[in-house]
Amino acid sequence: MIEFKNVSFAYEEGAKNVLSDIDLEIKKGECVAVLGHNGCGKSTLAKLMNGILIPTAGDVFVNGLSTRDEERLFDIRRAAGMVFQNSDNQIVSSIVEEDVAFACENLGMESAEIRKRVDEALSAVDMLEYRTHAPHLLSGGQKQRVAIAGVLAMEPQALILDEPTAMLDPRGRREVLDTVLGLNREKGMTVVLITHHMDEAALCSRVVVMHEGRIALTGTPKEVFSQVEKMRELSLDVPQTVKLLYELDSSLDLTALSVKECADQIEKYLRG
Amino acid sequence: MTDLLTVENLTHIYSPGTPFEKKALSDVSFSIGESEMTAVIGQTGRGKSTLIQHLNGILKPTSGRVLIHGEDIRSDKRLLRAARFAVGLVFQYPEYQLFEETVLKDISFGPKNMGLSNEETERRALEAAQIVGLSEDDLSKSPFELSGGQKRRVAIAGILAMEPQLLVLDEPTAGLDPRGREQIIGYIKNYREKHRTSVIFVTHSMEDAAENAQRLIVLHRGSILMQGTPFEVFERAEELKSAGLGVPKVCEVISELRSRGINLKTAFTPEAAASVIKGARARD
Repeated sequence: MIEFKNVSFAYEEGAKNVLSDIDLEIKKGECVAVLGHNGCGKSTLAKLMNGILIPTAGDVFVNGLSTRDEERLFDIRRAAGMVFQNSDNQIVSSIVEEDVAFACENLGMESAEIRKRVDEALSAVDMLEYRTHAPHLLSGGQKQRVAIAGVLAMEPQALILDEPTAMLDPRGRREVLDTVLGLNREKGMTVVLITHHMDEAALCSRVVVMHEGRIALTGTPKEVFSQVEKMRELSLDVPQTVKLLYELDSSLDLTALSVKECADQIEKYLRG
Repeated sequence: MTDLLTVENLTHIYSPGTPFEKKALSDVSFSIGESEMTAVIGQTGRGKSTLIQHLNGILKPTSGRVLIHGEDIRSDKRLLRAARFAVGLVFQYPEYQLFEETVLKDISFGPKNMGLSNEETERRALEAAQIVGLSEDDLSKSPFELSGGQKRRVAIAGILAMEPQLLVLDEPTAGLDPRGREQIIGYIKNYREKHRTSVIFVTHSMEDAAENAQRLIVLHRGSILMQGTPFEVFERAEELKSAGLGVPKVCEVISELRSRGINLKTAFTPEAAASVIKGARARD
């Protein structure tokens, strides 16, 4: 669905590369978390995925189309929709349903089609009952769900979310995360979730860890988070369950991401 | 001895007598001792921000009192002004409040307003800048040239330079990555050790609260649901959960093990839990 082939990127000619030698393939229906510090290049990676930025070297393909091909940029952006950190910067209208309809209207769709898509998008994020509300009176999590609906109304195949929960409280984070994971599981939507929350990454099917513009680690959440020392080297955290087992005895099986798995390991340790 | 700060039966109602009337705080009482580090936890819309805006007199209580060293800050104008300097408030996303031409001028704004001499202002500003890890080069830059994380540090330094007796921070680590969070908490701890300042920080993160605070105040629907040491609060994990608040994952693991008939003491950080479990193994 999205493919990076030997991609490097610098913001200005001659400047230091923000990304170097990235090879990455995101398959249809995958849910991939991109983890890393501020400044590690993860937002740049996201912006390369739908042609907001164009690689300095190498190529990015979306559905086989190169993002260098300006004539197909439109198709690329419809296939891979983007949601940003601050929903306030992404909401344009004073009524929820008008905001969600904005992009469809811009594409000159029939009004019956727009109505259908807006209703579907709002029900997909569980915000249909708020369709006539004013966005600025919604909570952070609700606003972010409206922003996601705006992208869904374009019927993309992939959703790229750049730290969508960074400004939200735990409840808002939960709402947005449940929405995104639900779209992946129930509708087969390809999801790329840029985040620095370990617990969010743990819920995805694959984790890509970025460090200084390169891919430092990739694998399932269990494969990645059990490498406690490597993660520390990258000054990244691991989930508390893994940390606890590691503190207990670093030779234990460290793949426990849930409370139950962690308790199982400790029970074995105590009774073994 | 009177406590540094005492909040007595504080109630705050927004827009009273209108259809928008909303009770944000209800009968809140607590006190803060010298050089204590306290975390205020609760979900959004549970009165945390309303509460801290009372601590230096930005908001006026509907009823109840806020006392600094035993004196009601609203009893006269002089005390209210003194409260603004005694209690330094760092708002959420304070990086949006920078406005001066240079970083140094921005940090100096507070102490200057207190009527301090130029030398004293500069001494404090330089010290505060150093504590939050800003370099000398940064000081002459425009605040708007800096990264988001640096801007936040400038904003915090501006309050530290006022050398408040009580430093209050509303979600100082919101939106930062793990390294940024650790740095900011580290700066605050260093400052506190050096100046023996009391600190209150508002957070959503039970993990941050568990690891960094000596006392916790849990707000729920505008009232204090519980307050005490992390140990006392997290011992009531079930109550916290039924109020819709999280507990650190470690606490959940411990309660899961207890429900399987394994007798373990309460612990709320991975390190502490590991030693509790090791102790249990040695005991058997």
